[in-house]
Amino acid sequence: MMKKAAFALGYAGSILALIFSLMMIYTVPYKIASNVVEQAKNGMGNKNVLAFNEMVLHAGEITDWSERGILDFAASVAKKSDVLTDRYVYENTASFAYGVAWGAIICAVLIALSVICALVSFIGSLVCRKARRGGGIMMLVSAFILILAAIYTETILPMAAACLLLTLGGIFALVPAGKPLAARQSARMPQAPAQWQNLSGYAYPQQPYYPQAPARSAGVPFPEEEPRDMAQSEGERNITE
Amino acid sequence: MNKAGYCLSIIGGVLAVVFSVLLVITGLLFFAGNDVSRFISNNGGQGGGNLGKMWEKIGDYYKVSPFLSGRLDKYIKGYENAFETMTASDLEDMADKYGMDSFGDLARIYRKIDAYLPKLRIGVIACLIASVAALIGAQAARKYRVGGGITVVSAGALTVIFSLLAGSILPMAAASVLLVAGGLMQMKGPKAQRASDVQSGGDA
Repeated sequence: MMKKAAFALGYAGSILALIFSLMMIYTVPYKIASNVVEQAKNGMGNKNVLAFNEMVLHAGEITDWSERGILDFAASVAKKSDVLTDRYVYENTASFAYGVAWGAIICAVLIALSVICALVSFIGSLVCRKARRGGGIMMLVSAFILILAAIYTETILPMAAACLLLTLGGIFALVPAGKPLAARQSARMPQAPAQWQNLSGYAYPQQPYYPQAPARSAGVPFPEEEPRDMAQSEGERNITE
Repeated sequence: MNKAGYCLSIIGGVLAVVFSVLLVITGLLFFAGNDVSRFISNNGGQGGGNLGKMWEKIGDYYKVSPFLSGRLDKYIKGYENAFETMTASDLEDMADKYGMDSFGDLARIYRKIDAYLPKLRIGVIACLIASVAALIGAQAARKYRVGGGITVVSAGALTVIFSLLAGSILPMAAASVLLVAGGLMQMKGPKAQRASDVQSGGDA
């Protein structure tokens, strides 16, 4: 029962996670763009736009892509410029652009990671039928990474539902299934039934013996004969007599 | 259960989900990509070309104060409002007012995309539903061989039809082929069972 619930929840959660993580391809760039416009409206002026434009025109001269290198580049453009000479405007704009670019790169990596995690959780939900612990761990780890990515990219609302399903699926997969006491005891101390015993003291399985059983599955005609019990074969009947 | 059919259905279903969500990009690209690239190559150029002039004229049409003559936040807000309210007839009006053919071309592309968007919306949602149905069918086929197989095959056919509606058949076709093949294999059943069915038919 728990295994079925784990599979169903994990399967539904992973499909939702795949859909929402792919939708991040649209929602995240839109959010980044609207954040930039909002920040430009509130914290920047015309001078910043002019400075940015001039730095873009000289972008080929950037050799060091670290923050310090970008700030040095901004200062060098300010020195050469005949439009604006205020070094701080250039540096502020450069540091703003640097932050936005890093944010965009991190978001791109997180989107790719989310898609991969959604696929891993999908595989985990399929695996949990045969390997419950492995499947459960795959689902839980994926749900954790997906929720972190959703928090960073501000797309928590749709992804939370998928992560909830995945987490429940993972927990159900990891919880050991309860068995009746008798079944557990028999599992600990296997005992052959008395009728299996024969005089030679050897225990035979009670299933009827089919000499040509593999041939049946291969589609070869199967001879009509009664199933023969090993315990009652000719030799043993003689011993009994 | 036919293992090969099951694997094909699952892979096809996942691909169908992926391509359904990406249909927004691929659909627009196949539908209007050529027109947009032709428009940009005709009107772009050194220093923005016609596009820079069009930007200024749009600001003028919607009475946005020019750049550097006012505050930046008002400039951005003015353009935001302009793009929110802009229609194809406004662009045609601009083409007449400023005597620029580029606005006429843009109006044609705008009208074409505007008519296409409802189809795209329906296509994406329907494809998504069909691909999820295919994934459910692939699981159901483990227990209900024929029912699950029919679900997978019909979902594969539906994804092709809806992606055709959305104007982007090419990527979805691969997923649909996998789904149809997987569904048919699931319906046939496992090899051993087929052999025993043949045998029982022969005995009868």
